[in-house]
Amino acid sequence: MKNPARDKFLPLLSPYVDGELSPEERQQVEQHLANNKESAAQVADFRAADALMRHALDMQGDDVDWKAFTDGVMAQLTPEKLPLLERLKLTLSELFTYQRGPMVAAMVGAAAAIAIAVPVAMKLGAGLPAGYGADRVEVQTVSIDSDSSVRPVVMETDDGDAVIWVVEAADRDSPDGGKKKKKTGDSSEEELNQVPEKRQGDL
Amino acid sequence: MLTRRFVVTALSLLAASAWANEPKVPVKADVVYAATAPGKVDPELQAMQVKLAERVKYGTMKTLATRRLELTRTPSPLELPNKKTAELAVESLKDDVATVRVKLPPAEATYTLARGKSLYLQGGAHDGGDLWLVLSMPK
Repeated sequence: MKNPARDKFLPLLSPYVDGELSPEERQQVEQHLANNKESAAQVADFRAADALMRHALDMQGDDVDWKAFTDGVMAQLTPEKLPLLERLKLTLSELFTYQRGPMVAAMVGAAAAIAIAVPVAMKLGAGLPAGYGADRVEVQTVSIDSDSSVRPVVMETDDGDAVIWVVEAADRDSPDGGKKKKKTGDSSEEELNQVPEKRQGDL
Repeated sequence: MLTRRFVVTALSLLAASAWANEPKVPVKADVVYAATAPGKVDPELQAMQVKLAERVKYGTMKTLATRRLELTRTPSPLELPNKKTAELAVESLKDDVATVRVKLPPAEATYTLARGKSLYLQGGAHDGGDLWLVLSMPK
């Protein structure tokens, strides 16, 4: 026997089970199902079939090894890292393309710095600080300002040091005064007269 | 415009080259305060105390300042606490031995540097004692 209501709602039963109907349509279908056992049985069949199919798919999914799939996807997402030389070439290429002026200026500056720094470093590195030194300090000249009332006393010690005293000229008469006095101890002492000219103090 | 740039660049390079050729002699300058009054003597100054004891027995000695100078033929000034200014310059370089000129008014002296040795130059009165300028080669 033909049932016009069932014919009307039959196309909506599957979308109803799948949750694809609007609230109004859903309410109408549920009223129909309450009055029509045949449609209600069909909806029960649809739900049972869905459950079976979902279960079967889950079981199939568990059997699949997804590692290869994951690796394949990640291989496509992460490009292979370029070698260092290639990366440098790429970087320089981009810098010269987009920053040509600053790059040329920097290279010229670096070349000039190297041209200056190399001879400077060679000069500074040659013999310093070990060089420029003798075995003992030797005082070559001593002079005193001509208008000064003091005089120098030079003492060179046996271990290579030297001491320059500046003493009052009145000390000339002191017991340790005197000209060109040499001591027999561990040091030699030499007194100089006040010298108006700088070079007159040569020892 | 280009010619002017070239001249400026050439002069700069010449100046740098001249600077590179000028000898630089490193010298360590210690400013030491010494007084006869009994007190503390810095441990590193005990050898100096013994050397100076032939003329003056100092009972207090301390280092007030230490500077490392790069001497050239142009005098390098060194201010002392007693308002005096010492000037040090390279006098000559012969057989890899530097002769240094040191001017500390009223005295002026030239002496040869020596490895591990020092020149002690009396630098005038200060705060009831004496100042000494101790010149040596840096280690």
